[in-house]
Amino acid sequence: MRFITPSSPKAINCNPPYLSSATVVLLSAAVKEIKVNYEKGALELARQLFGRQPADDDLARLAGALDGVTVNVSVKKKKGWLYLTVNDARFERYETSVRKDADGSLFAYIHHAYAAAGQSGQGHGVRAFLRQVNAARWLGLKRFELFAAGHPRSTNENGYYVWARYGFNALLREEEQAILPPLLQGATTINQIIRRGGQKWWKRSGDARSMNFDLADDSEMMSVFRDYLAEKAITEE
Amino acid sequence: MLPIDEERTILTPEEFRAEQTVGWFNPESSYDDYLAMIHAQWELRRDAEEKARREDYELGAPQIELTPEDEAILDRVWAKRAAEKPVVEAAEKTDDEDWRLTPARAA
Repeated sequence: MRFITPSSPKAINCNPPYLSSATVVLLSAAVKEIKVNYEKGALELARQLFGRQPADDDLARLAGALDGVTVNVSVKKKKGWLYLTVNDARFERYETSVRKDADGSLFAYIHHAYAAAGQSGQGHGVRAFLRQVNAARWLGLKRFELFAAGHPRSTNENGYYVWARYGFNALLREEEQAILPPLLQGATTINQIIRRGGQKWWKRSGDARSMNFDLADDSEMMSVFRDYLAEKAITEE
Repeated sequence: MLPIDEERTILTPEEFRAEQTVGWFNPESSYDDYLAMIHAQWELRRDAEEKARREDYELGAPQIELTPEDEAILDRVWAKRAAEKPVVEAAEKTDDEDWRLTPARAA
């Protein structure tokens, strides 16, 4: 597995001039043949958010772009969100925004991540998310956030369970804590439920909510994801 | 007020007691406690949807695949975490961790 470190080889950086819109073709060992299209104001916002102009391949990876795709970088209305859209036939939609927390720290919000018809079960989502994690850590983001939808009876949404299995976390409501069976009593987070072997309980009794993935090296989420990747022998191409 | 959810089936009192008997719920809890949990979960969803509407963005429902092989691997990974980190959750939770879990601070 390769988590990006400062010594990792960097892509050829062919940053575009400061035009209102520009397209860049990346050719690098890390990201191959990804086109990055900047809409008006996106470069300026990227510089503001990151305190420098991020390399195009870093933004492409932060978007979750796999090889051979196009990434569109735009400004989401007036919110100051850098909005990254991956145009990839493997995904029906893959869209992430980069924002600042109230304390000024950067985080990314995954709005949409859906495999295209016939593409699920091939690991594209995990590989895309791995790229996002590596790039986010490289760029200094603190966490990912998403809305993990679904509920035990849903036939088409199971994010509340699946993202939690990969390490995403959220606080339990007091009402949920109160009804936990004896083996899970005292747990205050979803991570704690699953660490105690309560994944079946969460699958049967959990529900949708916003979840976070802490990118700190020693977080439970990073440890789980790292160990999963190691056992599955998934590396960033 | 109870949540109105056309998809989710809320357990009946009899079903709740049956599940409680076989260990799915706190034996000290009541059916009202169960309904309170359902309502709290509904509130979480409603709050997230209202925040997205208020701030004018698509809440989304991102999905990621989880095959039976993935499940088996993650079972082992989480079991390893449990062995490495004994159950001391009450002591481990600090104020510092709250920001990692609470999206309310998002700008």
